[in-house]
Amino acid sequence: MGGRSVSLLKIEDLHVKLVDEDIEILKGINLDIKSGETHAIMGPNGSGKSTLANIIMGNPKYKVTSGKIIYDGEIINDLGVAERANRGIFLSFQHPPEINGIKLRNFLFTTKQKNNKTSMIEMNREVETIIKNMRMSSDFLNRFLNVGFSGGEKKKNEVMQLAFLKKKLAILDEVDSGLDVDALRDIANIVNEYKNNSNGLLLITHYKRILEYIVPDNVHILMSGRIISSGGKELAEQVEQSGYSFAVAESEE
Amino acid sequence: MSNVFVDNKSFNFKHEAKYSAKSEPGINKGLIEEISSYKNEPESMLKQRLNSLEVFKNTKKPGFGVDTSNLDIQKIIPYLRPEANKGNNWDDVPYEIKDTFERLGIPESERKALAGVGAQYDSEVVYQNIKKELENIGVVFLDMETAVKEFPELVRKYFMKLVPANDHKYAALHGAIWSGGSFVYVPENTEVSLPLQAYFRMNAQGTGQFEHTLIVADRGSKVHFIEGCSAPRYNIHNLHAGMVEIFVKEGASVRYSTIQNWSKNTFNLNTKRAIVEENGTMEWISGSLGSEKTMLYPATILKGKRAHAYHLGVTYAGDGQHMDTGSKVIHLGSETTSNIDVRSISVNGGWAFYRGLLKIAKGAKRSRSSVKCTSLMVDNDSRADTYPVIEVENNLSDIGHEAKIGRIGEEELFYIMSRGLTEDDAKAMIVRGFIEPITKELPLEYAVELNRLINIEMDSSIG
Amino acid sequence: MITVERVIDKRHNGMEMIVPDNEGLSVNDYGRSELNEIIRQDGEQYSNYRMKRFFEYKGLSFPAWRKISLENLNLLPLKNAISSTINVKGEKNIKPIKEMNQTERFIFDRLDFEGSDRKILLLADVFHSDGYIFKHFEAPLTISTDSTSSRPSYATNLFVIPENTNAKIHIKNYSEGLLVMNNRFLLQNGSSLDILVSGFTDKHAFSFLNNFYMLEDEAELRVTDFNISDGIVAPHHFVLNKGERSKVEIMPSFLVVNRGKIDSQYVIKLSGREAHGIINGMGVLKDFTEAIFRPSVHIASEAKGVVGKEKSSMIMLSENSRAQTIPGLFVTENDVEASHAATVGTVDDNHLYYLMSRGYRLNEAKRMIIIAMFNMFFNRIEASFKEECERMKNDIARRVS
Repeated sequence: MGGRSVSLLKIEDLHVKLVDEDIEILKGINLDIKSGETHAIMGPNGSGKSTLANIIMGNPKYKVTSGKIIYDGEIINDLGVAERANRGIFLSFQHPPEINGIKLRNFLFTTKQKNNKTSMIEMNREVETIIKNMRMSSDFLNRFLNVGFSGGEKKKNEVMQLAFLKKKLAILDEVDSGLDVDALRDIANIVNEYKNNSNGLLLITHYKRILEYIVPDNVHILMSGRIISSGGKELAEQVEQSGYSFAVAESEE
Repeated sequence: MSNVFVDNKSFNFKHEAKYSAKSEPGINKGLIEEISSYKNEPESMLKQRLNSLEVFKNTKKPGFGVDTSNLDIQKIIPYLRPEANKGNNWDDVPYEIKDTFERLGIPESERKALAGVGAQYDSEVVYQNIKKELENIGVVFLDMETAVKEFPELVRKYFMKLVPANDHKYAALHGAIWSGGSFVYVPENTEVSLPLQAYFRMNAQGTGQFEHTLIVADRGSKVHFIEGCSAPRYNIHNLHAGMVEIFVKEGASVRYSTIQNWSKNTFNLNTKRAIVEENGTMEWISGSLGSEKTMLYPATILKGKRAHAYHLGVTYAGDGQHMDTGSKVIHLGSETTSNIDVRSISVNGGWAFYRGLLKIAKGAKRSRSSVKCTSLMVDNDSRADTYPVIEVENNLSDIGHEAKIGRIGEEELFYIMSRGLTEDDAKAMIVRGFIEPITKELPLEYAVELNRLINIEMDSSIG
Repeated sequence: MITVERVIDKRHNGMEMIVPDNEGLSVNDYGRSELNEIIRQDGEQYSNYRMKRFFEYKGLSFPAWRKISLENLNLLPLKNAISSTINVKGEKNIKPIKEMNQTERFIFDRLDFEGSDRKILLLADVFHSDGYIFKHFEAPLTISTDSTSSRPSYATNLFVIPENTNAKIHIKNYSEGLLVMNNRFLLQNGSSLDILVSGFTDKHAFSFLNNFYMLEDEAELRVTDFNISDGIVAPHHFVLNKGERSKVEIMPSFLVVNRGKIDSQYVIKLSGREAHGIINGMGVLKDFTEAIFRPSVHIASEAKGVVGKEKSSMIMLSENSRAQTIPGLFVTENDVEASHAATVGTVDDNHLYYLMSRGYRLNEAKRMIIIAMFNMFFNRIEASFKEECERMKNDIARRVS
């Protein structure tokens, strides 16, 4: 059920390019995610999906040439990555990097402490619950951050952070790529648990499969840097049936 | 920009005495004047030669590398005099050189020229045809001595500006006695589709020991130059001190391929250097097979933004050979990149020493470099060393360097032998495979010759 | 007879390699009077030994190194020299080196080497005020040395690790002045040594460490060399794997801060069959620092089945620092595995972005990653040197900013 009609994330006519090159990747994106809503962005490879996810997070590799990103009523174009994170934006990476020497448990706790003073006991309890829900063993927490993790483990780690850190706007960049059905189901459970009336979710995906598990309120088709079609979840069905080209045809009418 | 290897010392009295004009004949002012006058050079070039001579006399030998105590500069003097080479005799050429000509299938007409014996290699016709085509697109391809006279301004602008006489002792020697070589100028936005080959214009006068090659590729141009050949080059005296200077302007791209196979009595002390402007690319493809002692470090200075260098080479050190070779890349501009892949083969007691310098200067921000050295020791009598110096002066660049030294794998050998080859043939095949990335970049006839040559070398060392 | 073990083998099959001459530097040097002062307390045998080395010392000059200048090297009056402190639980049997007997003398002479520079090595060999011979290693051994701006420290020690014995040693060097320490180790058949050398050098310091290790058959050595430097430090570790199946792993790590400089050299010479030598190092440069890292592996003829590897990574945190790595491989036997991999760069952008996306500011994220790298390093020796590791982790956390 949709919540209050407050825009959590509003993107107005956003144009984005890579800092090093002059080719425009996003050519005027408009998006409005209200509190409590789940939006999905679908598109073929090279459409600019990852760019969109990353520019909301503030990745310095990309540059906004015009347009606005408004988060919770504030224009965040000039805010740094850490500042956006501390305001509640979370990005689940498509390819989480392996960082040796940092234990997952320590990382989770230290990161959480930055924004809410929670006791150790409380944190331990929370993380154990999440681990159990993901059907993993506590040993997992003793490993180094993403080091030697399988694809599925890496994605589970991302989603675990999402649930544990209780962020306000979660962007999941192709969280489903490379996952088997069981892992997908586990991840979907955690994400669905996380969803409530005051947070928002932006799912970036190539395939419709994940949308069976995490049901979106709105689906947008992104092609060559433009949103060419928006609708409900039936849109995802149509893409499944007729491929992305149908959406092009539609948009040209 | 300081040269890491040079150990410049002041005046060495003992040395001076040895070469004083009064006591013994040496490389002196008189000889240089004679050479210059015979070549009909402009005054400026004579001045430059004399200047270099002074520097040569006052510079100590490089304090590193191969042992040059057996190098007697005196020996080359008779061959500097004009008319000198007409006296060379085919009978004096060592048997093994003649034998290699035979086995490589070198045409009779070329053999004498390669052996530095009087006869002129009759490539004149070929050269003239190519010259016409090149003139049509504005490309200049002349021998260096003619260029000095026909394009004095252009030559003066670049000649020995990249490697000045005070760079090191043998650069100074070169500056004083250089002879022959090629001059190439490619105008803006011009692509030379056929590789230019120095081979076309070999003549008796300059059998190549002190040739000076100067290539200027103007903005946006593209050219491939090939020097040398895999056939052995023989000279009676034993020094090769040539020089190659290459200026790659904005957006231009130059590839310089060399196969050198100087006879086993030679000291190969060649200097090769390129400087690259913004968005330009320089590629050095090298095969060093011959000479008894070699010091050769193709160098690229990446001056402009986004300039790129690619060094690909193989060094072969066989019986009695000490090869001290490597590469030098200096990143000065930001976002510059370099890729170095050098290989060496040591066989039959040979010594291959890789000496590299990779320097990322303070201003070369966001630069990347990747260096790979691989040494193959075919047997147990040889030696392979790598000594790379990696210097980084900023915190925004990424450098990776790896090296590996070892022998032909038992498994690989067994696998090939199990298909019916003898151990020797299998080894030769593996060695050819090892150098494949280099032969791949050479025009077909060079690649074929190089492979044949490797076979011959391996044959003689294993047998 | 002293045979000095040299780093580079300049000859092969009648061919010779030329290496740069050592230029001399003139420094206010110790002379005869200082020698006389120091041999006053020696017995006859020992004073002869010092004199012999002094003659060699006199004929050499201090090196004019290009990267790290020794111009400000100031040799202070000997009488102020500080001694090392030995900490051994319950170990009373430590012999002063002046009481070296014939056998020990023989071993000592066998273990002669160049050090980072022969002159500097001899400085401590001739003018040390103290030094010990260690032959018992039942308990872990800790040796601390100190030097201040007015009190230099010169020490020479000999360690003979008996057959099939396992030894653990921690050498701690605090330097605010001139410190030269030479340690010679003989690991006899089947013995093992786990040694941690931690050095802290402040901005006025010149700290030179010269360690030589000879490994006999089946001997195993692990050297952890850790330095935090604000001054000048030059650690030199030379391992000779003479014995068959002898193994060594050298793990250097350093952090240079402010205007500190480090010139570190790690040499492994493998001559015994199936010997193993690995150098695995990391270093971090901040501020206006300079670091030179010289790992080299030398494989002699007939050293069949030998494995020699080098791995190093240098991280530059500031745009004003300079790093140089010279990973050398010198191989004369082809039935071996010899390789190196070196990287120089800065903290991975992607890693930083990931941490920042979790709310860590850029500097915080850098710090986390660097501390994590050092922690990974320390974790490897935690079992042997637990307390020391804690100490080092804290030091790093403090100084990484």
